[in-house]
Amino acid sequence: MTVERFEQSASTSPEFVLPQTDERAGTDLAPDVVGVRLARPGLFIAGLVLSAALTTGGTLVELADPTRRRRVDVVAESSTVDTEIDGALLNEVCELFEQGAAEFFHDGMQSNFSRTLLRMLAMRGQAAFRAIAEYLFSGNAKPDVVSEGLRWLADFNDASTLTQRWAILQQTLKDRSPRVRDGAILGFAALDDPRARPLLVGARQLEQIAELRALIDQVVAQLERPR
Amino acid sequence: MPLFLRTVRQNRWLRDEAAPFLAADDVPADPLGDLLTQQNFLSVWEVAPDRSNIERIVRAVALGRHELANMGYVLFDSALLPEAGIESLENRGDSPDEGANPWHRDLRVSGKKLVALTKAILQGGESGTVLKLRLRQLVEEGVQNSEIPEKYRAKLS
Repeated sequence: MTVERFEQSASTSPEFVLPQTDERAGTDLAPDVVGVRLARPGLFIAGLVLSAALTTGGTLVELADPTRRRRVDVVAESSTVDTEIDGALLNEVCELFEQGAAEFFHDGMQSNFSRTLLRMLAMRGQAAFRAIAEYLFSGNAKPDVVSEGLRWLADFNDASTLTQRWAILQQTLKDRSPRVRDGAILGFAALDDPRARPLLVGARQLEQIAELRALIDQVVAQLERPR
Repeated sequence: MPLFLRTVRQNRWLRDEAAPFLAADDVPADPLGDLLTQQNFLSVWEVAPDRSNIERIVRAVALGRHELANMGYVLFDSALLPEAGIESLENRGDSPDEGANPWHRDLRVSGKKLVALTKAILQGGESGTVLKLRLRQLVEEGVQNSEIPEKYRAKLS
């Protein structure tokens, strides 16, 4: 347990670079989401690309951009990239997250949002995660709801969607909103997979908010515990 | 003076986040949502001088929630209270952990005093989170040590 004092952080934020080698090492968990580097994860394109990766099992690859704005492209295993999202499901997700914005979330308490989200995930599985990814990176999502959603979806006990959950958390770990990053950090705590350690260590190096650095330290300590 | 603890969602207490939008003497509004009162009393817990009971307090509160989850909290020095005109009452808690209940306090607050307390916590307090996995360990230990009733083992399923 770490307690963090409320203090202004003096740290600066160099460009985020994921430790790709470590992340891949010995993992068959998230091979299709390695190498994502986005300076502006809220960009709509990120959602499209992430959705595509989640759909096809493709690999996200950063393309250099002289303007320092980031672009990403998908190298899919197949020649066709199926980015199709169930429109009705996407509408449901939008509605769910927009209604969730009216709720006030408390730790350990269910909400209409969490109950509906879990029901949707249970019923629609991977399709629901694709729609959620699409919505999360559309730029329309409210940080509090996203943070709450990350906590619940990370904890969703279904091995078949682990790669999707990992991809969403990895992306939101770099979100501009501290509340979203908080949800992503706690999401990785819920996954409790030691292979997330390099991601978190990398995120810590860039994190400007002292409380979130302390939270990452806690999660890393959890991941490093003897098993 | 002892520290007081209040469970909150920690990400609402990130002072840096709200700073750009606030006047110098203002406080962000979101943290106030974590300070729900009943009958104008705010429920808090007194922390031991060596802070050894923080996790037990958080566990006691967590047992009253729907399910075990990451639990955030803030700590603040009770010396802040007289300055804000806030009275502290030693009202025993009613958590499932009888050993923790004597540490419970009620703070008599008004709207203005609540804002003053929020400001004081943000300026001089601390925040933290007990992770869900740790909380599960604490509940297991608590049942084994008979600090909490056996029925709370169901929270682990």
